[in-house]
Amino acid sequence: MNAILVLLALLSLATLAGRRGGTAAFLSAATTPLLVALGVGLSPHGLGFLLPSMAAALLPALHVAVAWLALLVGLRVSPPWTPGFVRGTGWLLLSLVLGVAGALLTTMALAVAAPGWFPWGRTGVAQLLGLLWVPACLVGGTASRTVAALVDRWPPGALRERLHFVARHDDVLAALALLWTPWLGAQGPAAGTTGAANASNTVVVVASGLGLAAAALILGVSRPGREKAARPVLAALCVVAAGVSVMAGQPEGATAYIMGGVLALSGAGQRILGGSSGGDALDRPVRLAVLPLAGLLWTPSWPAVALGAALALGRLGGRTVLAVLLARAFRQAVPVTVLLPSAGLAVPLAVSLRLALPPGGLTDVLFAGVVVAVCLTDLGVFAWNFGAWMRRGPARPITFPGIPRVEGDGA
Amino acid sequence: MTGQPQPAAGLGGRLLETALGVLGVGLMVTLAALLPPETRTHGHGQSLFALGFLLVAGLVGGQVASVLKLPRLTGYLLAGVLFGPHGLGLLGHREVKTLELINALALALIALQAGAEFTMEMLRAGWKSLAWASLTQLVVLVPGMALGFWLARDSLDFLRDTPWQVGVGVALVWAAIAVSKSPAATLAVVGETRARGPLTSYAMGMVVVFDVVVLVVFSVALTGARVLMEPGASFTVADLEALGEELVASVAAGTTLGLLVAAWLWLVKRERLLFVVVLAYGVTAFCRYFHYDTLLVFVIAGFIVQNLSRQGPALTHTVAEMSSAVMVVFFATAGAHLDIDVLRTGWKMALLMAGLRVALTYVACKAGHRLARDGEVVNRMGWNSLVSQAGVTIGLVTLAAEKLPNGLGTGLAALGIAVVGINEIVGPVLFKSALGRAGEVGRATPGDGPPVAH
Repeated sequence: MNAILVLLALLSLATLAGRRGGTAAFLSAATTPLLVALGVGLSPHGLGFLLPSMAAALLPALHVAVAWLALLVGLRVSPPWTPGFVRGTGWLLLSLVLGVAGALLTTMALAVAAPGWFPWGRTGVAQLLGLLWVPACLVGGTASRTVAALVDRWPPGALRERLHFVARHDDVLAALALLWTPWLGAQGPAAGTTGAANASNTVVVVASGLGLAAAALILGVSRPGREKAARPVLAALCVVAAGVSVMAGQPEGATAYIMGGVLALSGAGQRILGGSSGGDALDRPVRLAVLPLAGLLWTPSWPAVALGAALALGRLGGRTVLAVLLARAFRQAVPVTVLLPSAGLAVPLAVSLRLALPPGGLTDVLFAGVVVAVCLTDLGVFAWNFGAWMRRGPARPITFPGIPRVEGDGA
Repeated sequence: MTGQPQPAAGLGGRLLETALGVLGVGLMVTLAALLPPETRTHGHGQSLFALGFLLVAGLVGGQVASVLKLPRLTGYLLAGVLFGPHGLGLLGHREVKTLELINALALALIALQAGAEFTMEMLRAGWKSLAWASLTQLVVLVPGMALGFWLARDSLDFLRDTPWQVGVGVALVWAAIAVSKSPAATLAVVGETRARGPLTSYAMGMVVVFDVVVLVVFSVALTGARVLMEPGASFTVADLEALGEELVASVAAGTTLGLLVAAWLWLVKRERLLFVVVLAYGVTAFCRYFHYDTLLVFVIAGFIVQNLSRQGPALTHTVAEMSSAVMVVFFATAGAHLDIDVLRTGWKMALLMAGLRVALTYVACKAGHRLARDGEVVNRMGWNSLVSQAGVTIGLVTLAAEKLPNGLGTGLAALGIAVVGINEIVGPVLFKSALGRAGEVGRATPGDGPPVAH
């Protein structure tokens, strides 16, 4: 009961913190670091307000929350016959390549330059790649719902459509990168060669996702006119996905994402999510509630901070190049701060990775690195926006630079 | 599949839908069977699987029941029985125990809805009927059940060869337990059928009134049993003082809570679902700490919101929105608790006791309706609504098992659970059927607020 009350308090706080609108977007950039810091502060590593047993009691809720978020991301996938799919996919691939490559380059450089800092020590480049591409995908590949919300306020046009498509889909790599988790399971790059056992674990994840999607379709979630009725079924299947994944020692994020993706490809995604808002009301409170819980799992260490800084820097590089390319292609200014805001699902999916692997050295560094990267990015965006607002004059309304203020905005 | 309003489908469509649902559950059972046995040691993984699976199985069970014209909650219960630890064993005792966390939320939702269903007009119009019915229930049911139980004591292993005083004491406790009804089952059937009318009002009034009455009766019976069984023990008014304080404090707490809820709903228009969840768990923890009657606190709060503010529809709508999934788990968990083995071994006595309770309820209702000069519908079918027993009764049986000495409680509990099992299955079926015959099904308008559960 105590754990439930703590969870509800966190959920309430997250809901209050997670409002939409220009002003809210401005402020929400600081939300992720604040909520993660809150979790760290409450955790046994911080002020110790939450006992380890209480934190452990929250884990089932965390598994389900992550599965639910991954399911919703999967449901947002556009079927290939959607208008603009091909062009959007082109920009999506470019965005993914730039983001992941940037993050991978900086982290690889750091790992090669200072091998003694990290738990994996001195190792070959190929093995390092196998290890670091997962956090790189988690950070570099994800844009965020904030990007979509901000871009929604631009005048209609091709650029808006492309960016919207990118923001809608570029969690795909992060979710699918989790399939690599079994290869990280035995602590380090040396585990990359364990072969058949890892492959069978990955098969379990994929099969579970497909099986649950089949169950969802059989249970009628894709039938028109039953959107509301479908949600309890989907919630139940998410809980099943979380349970199966925990039992199999696999990340529930990947299982649930595959389930959502299959449902989306069946044409049910938009219907279930309920219109153009893309199910914002369904996932935002949960997403924000995961952040303090992620803070509870965070084990502070300097290697993690260094890895996070490198990831954030690489992501910034990738996004800057993307902004330049977009501006040239569409002959329209694209403020890089609009492309940068926090990778909304990076932390939840990193939680999935953290929960699926045995805790300790490598796992903690990879997980905490992703969390640090996200927090640094968000704090950077917030500081930049705050500076811009101060330069405009504090008397001016608080809003996100480059985004028109619209009716209904406000914290 | 759930309780949400759905487009009408023909019988063929519903049968197909049901068959596919069963197929879906079969798929999940297969998935569970394919997992290596050693994975079952992963603590919360198994619990999570159990929760999700029970929810899906319950939804499908509800659909099957609906096709068979039975209440959906019967389907939820049977799904729990089938897959629970006493059935196929897909869910273990530990998982079922974990799922009980949902109960706090479910009971809060039920009680809030029950309180919010009452208006002052309804009370003014129905108080006489409720008062007479309550009185006759007590006058007929308590002595009748106690006598029946005492006469049957030689057939009960745990009472054989005990002194007559012990038999009378246990019979008193048994009779007090028999008085209890099931607010949850009643509300669930009313919600599913969207019923409105005299029978609906009567049923809901009675289950709420008896939620309080049974506490008093049970406490008196337990004290009486102690006096009979323990040499030197005596009955004093002080024994009832604590109970009185608890009830008064619960009413006061419920009133305060109701005013606070109304103020919140008036001031804050968003995130109401979250508010209700926080409220349910927070107030439940508060009530446990101060030993208040949680159900009564929520009922009073719902009543206050409905009658002293304009936020009644907002509350009922919010509660209804989240009830469907919660109720499925609640009833499926209740089903999983039913010990089929106990029912199998003691079915004759359980059936006898359940039958006697139904007969006495019928007689008591008829007498009460005559004295109150109730309308024809209530007079003819009122008794159907008072057969269900569920969570409250199981709670009383468990409490009795703890309080009664020398293993008497264990025997009583086994019989009690078996009788609850019968009433839990039969009661809702009788009530739904009566609502249909009374012509009250589907008469709730949108202004009445959506149903609480399906």
